[in-house]
Amino acid sequence: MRISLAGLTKRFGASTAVDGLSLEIGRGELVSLVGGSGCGKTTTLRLIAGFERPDAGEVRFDDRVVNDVAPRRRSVGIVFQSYALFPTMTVAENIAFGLRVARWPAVRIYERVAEMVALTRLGGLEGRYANQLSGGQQQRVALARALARRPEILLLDEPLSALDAKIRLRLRGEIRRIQQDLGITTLYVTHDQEEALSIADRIAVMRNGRIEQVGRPEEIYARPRTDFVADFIGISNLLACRVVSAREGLVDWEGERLRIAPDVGRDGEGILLALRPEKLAVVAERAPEDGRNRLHGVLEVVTFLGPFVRLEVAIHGRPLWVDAPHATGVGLERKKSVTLAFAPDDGVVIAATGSSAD
Amino acid sequence: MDEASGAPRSSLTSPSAVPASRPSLQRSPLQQTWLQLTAAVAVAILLLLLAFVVWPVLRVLATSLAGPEGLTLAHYAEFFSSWRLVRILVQSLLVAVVSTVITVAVALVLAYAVTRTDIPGKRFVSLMSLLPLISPPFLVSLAFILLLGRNGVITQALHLDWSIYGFTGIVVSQVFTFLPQAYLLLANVLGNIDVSLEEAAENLGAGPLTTLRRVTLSLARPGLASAALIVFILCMTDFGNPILIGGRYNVLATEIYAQVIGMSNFAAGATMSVVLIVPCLVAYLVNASWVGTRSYVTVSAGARAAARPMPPALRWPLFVLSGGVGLFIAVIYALIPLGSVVRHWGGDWSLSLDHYAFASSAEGAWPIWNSVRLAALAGTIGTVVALVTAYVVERTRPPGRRAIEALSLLPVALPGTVIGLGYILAFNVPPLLLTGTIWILVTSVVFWKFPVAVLAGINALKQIDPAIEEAAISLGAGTVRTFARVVLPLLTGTAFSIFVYFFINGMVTVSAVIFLIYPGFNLGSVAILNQVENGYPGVACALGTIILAIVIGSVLLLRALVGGDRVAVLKL
Ligand SMILES: Nc1ncnc2c1ncn2[C@@H]1O[C@H](COP(=O)(O)OP(=O)(O)OP(=O)(O)O)[C@@H](O)[C@H]1O
Ligand SMILES: [Mg+2]
Repeated sequence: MRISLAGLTKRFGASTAVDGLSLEIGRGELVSLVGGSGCGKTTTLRLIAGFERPDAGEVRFDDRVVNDVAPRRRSVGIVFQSYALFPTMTVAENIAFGLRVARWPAVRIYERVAEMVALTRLGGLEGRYANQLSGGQQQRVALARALARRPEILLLDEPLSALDAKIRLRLRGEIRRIQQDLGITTLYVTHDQEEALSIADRIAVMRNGRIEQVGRPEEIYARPRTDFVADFIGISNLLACRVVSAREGLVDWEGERLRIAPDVGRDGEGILLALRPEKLAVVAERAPEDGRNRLHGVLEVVTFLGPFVRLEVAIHGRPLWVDAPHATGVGLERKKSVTLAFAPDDGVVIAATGSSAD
Repeated sequence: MDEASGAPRSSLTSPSAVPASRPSLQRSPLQQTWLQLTAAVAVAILLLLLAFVVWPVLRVLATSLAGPEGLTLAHYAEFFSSWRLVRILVQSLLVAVVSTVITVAVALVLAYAVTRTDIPGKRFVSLMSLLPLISPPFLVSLAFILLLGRNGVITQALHLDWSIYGFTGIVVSQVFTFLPQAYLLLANVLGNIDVSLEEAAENLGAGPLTTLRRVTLSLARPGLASAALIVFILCMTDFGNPILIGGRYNVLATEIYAQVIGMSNFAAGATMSVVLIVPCLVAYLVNASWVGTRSYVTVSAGARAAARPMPPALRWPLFVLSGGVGLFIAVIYALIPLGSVVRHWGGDWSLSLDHYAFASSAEGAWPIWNSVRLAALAGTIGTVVALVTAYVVERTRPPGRRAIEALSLLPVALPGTVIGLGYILAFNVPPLLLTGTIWILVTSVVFWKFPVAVLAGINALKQIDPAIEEAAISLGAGTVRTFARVVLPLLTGTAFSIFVYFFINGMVTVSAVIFLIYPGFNLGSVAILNQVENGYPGVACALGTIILAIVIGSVLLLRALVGGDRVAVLKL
């Protein structure tokens, strides 16, 4: 089933939680909704599930408007952040709840529960109560319960946020596997950008009740359209530049001439240039000219981060983050001058500064 | 507080390697004294409980078993072979069961409407449900007599030759009298249920009724059982309502009074008391052991307890029902002041303040002054003893602590009439010759109402992080000073709540004290009963109005003094 949200708006008193949000989720697609705390992710999810009524706009499943359809008739499965397992029921009873309510025959309920237990690898735990399960197991029961009725849409609200890092990684893979096996249309809410990047077909970045950008993970990562997105999806260095020559792809940043992809913006216009830390390289001061931009600065901080070192380099008093391989980091000392290089194509131009710099 | 709570950590690094925050391991002379002091206090409390809880009960038991030649079961044989007495027992059980079922059902509807739905007027319903908590328990009966008694408004208006006295009267009065206890308990249970559980059910296709039955109520089941057991005890032991509105329908609690005060038959009264205690004790033990372990209410991370919009088909019936009950309680309590200014209820409807002259009896307003004295004394003494007990039980954990805790809570299961009879039997002889003094009344109120006060103290202490205390000690404060400077201030809110609780009970209680008042020392609440029995409902209403005003006024005054919500109204 396809989900279309069109101009969706939800207000709570004076505050607007969701503000004219539009989003398409294709059949069998997993879209991840990411954004900071309080930006309206949960509210969006609840609007789709039917727990909140929109003040304006439409929720459509395929081409049917479901604004007035009660939550229990929407064929949507939800995994709540707190899992919301029924404490008075066993694992099997939790999974069977939706089937009982739908008056499936007992035999089919039994078969379906067994199927879901196998799918979510809960074998042996059927008779336990929620408080006798680990967090990861509870999460899988919640998933099994949500999927048992064969809903056509699956909504997950930060399903892994209560778990520790290792289990999170494993379960995320499992959720993705199950989702792809079933081909179920899924909205996955998280505030963890890494989780979103790794699990989603597409990512929708949300801010203040609106969608800031939608796209495939690599697209969002490589070509953030706003500074907020660039900042949210991994760390970015943001350089406020002025276009010197759009035709040649020449911009000015703090008096430095930098070369970027040509034909961006208009001459004299302010733009934001996003540079990923891993796109910046440390080079020898007198390295031969290779068409890359050069920046000279002072090394301020070196942080070892497992596979690489993160350097903070001050250039014209502004800090830039650089992720460099360990080998590069060895000879470096604090307060020494370093030279950074990046290729013109590695800079991502984000909107004009007038609209996005803050 | 940050500074303080950081301190124990730094003390861990001290070379002695024995954290100073563990007084049991490294004792300074002062701490040693403190330990001895708490041990002495624990012993003193144990002795008090033995004297004022256990001894009276034992005296009742002994009296019921005493025969001319030593122990005998003759009184019990007599009881169970008397058709009249067995009938009274059955009637007591019947009225208690029926009242309990109705009370819990009504409380459930109100608590559900207030905590889980978005009906209008929730604050009003909630306030009204709690009102009976702070009034003399039998004012409801009095109001029903004004409505449906022989000269009641409705009885007269409809020319009924039926009146409410008897089974019906007791049941309706008990329902409205004990509604608050059940309501508070259920509102607490229902209010803590995570709303996403209901949403999950709905998301899985369950309709509102299925969700209610399979999820909400199923989670509330332990709470319902608990409410039922507690209300059962309250109804079983209720004295004021049956004596006022019971008419010829006798129950054990009133029959004990008739035997003891009317016929001075202590043996029969004691036997009935034991018979009355048994079902109460069973209910109490079942609640404490079985229900207590079965609570599902755990506040998990991310749990939200929000009201949910209801479908209109449920919303409006709920609104009408809960609003109706709320309004009716308001009417009941409006009837009391109204009855006090009507010249002759059911005859002459003109207004007058004659009843406030208290001309109809020699008692005047003095019983109320006695009530205030009793309430103030019980409040002061009760608060100190209850808080010290709570501290000893919760923090110092002396040997015998479980015994202290169990004995503190035992009076929950003790009917007021049994307390009253027990105190007469226990304290009319030296060394504790208390009969004929105010102290027998004070101690009966303090120890009968002890459980709730101690529990409130224990709960408050549980919420005070022991780290704060340990921090204060490790900063060099002696244990004595810690208690005075650190713990006590944090307890003031609770202390005032407990004071109010004892004070209210001192003002309104009847069943125990009616055995213990002595010539020249009547109480306001008992005087109300006397006035009704003597056929002066107007004067009873006047007394009731004054008592209500004092109680409500003192609650408001204390809240104003101590500050808003720090004074809670304790239940039971
Ligand atoms: N029932 C409600 N009543 C009033 N305000 C609400 C309600 N639900 C959400 N809000 C407000 O709407 C805004 C969006 O909330 P929402 O729960 O959708 O955020 P979120 O993106 O899920 O945040 P988080 O990552 O913290 O879960 C917040 O400002 C929140 O305070
Ligand atoms: Mg959320």
